[in-house]
Amino acid sequence: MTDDIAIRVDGLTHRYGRRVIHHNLSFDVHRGGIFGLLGKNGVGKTTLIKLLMGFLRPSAGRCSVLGAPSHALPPDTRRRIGLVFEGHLAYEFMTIRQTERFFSGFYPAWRGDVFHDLIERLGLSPDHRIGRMSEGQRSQVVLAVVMAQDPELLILDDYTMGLDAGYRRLFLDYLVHYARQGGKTVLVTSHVVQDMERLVDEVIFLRRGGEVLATSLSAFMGDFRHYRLPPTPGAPPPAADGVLHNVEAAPDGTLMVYAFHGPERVAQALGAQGQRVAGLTACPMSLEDAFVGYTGTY
Amino acid sequence: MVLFKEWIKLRGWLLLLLLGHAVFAAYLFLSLRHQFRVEHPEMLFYQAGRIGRLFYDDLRYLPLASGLLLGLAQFLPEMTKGRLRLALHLPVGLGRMILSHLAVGLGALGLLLGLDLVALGLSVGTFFPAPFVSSALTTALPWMLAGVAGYLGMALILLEPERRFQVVNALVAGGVVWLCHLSPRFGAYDHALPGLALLVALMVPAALLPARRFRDGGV
Repeated sequence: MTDDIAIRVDGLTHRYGRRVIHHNLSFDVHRGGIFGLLGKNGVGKTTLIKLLMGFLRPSAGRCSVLGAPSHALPPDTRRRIGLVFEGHLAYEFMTIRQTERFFSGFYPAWRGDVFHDLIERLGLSPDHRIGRMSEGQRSQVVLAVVMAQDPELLILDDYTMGLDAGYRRLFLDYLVHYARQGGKTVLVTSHVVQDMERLVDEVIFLRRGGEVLATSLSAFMGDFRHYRLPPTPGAPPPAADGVLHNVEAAPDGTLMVYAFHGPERVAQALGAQGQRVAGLTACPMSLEDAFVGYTGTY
Repeated sequence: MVLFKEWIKLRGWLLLLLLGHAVFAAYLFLSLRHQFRVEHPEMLFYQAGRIGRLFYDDLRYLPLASGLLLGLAQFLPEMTKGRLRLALHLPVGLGRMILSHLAVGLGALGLLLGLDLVALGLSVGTFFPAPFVSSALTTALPWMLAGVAGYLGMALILLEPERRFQVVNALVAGGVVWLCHLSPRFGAYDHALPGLALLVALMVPAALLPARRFRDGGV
């Protein structure tokens, strides 16, 4: 593994019993970038995060994190990785002050300034118990704990779970500032795709069947196109093919066509399937639209 | 630092257990005093020495109940929502992390059981001749081991992520506890105590197996 790569997933296969979750999955996460791991429910995002965090052993293939196999990370490597677990896991019986005292003991490079800066925004007493906090407040404490560890790599599993828009924005702004300033590598999953647009440089799309697309956000948003087409009476709806990535029908019958190609090639492909392409129009789209277009609505 | 975390988590329970054991110690003393007030001491010496009557039989299941409760209070919060992952991601080896947790629990349990033995020794020593004290303590030692086995058994069951292994762990721990309570007679364990202690001690490294299974795929 080169020094440039923080995470390498190489030919990863994982199954629960007979159910295959990932098959021959490969991608790299380069150092210093913010990567969003995106995919519909059930494609195995959490399984992949657990594999990377060392809480699952891959059935086949390799996962390495900061140069060490993810299922056997030595303590020194774990010290360089900050994890935010799904549901903002924390010791609920501890206060904020006790939480800092406990975690700082394990991290010699503990950044008390970072911890207190984020905690002060909560406006809570240091003796406030974690168990008596709202989900949003707890998420801030968890983020403060992870950032204060000064890790090289942060892995955040669905940090948006249970957060309202205000806390999501606070979490996001703080994370982006911290990561950019410190040259940190971040891998994040979230079910709120629109947030990713503000956060990530690179996207890794997981699809059912093990297909993976890893690219920069700008390249994806530049290459992936959305077209609308009025339905052609009497013609069957077009199917995805080598040119048309995905075709969905809106409730009014309008065809939503997604493709990595320009209008000419798309019109040609639609025409070959018996569609009248006179009304084909390109539409702007957000990352959320693109996500839905890429992965399908269901 | 593990000691710090466990202290925060367990201090309420430890206070409760300490109070419970103190109340029991007072009860044991008062109960013996009552017996010596209503019956002639020679009769009681005869009952204890010849018939083998236990005047402190109520102590029998207290260590077991304390061990089970302590194990539950210590490991249930760790396993709820898979919170143990927080500890397992800390830059400490899995073995050291789990053994540190067990050391804290066993230390706290040892303190409680030590208090029980002191209370038993003082109570028996106040009313009976000296030989009865050592006899009472050796009679109670298997009960103390049952308490330790109960604590470790609870840890084994709660740390285990797979249901079938949980059942196996429960059966093994139950079997060890059963062995510790096989006979309440004086001197019944005189030759078996070292072997029984070794059996209970083996449950300590055994706790690393479910912890490893949890790390490698538990929820």
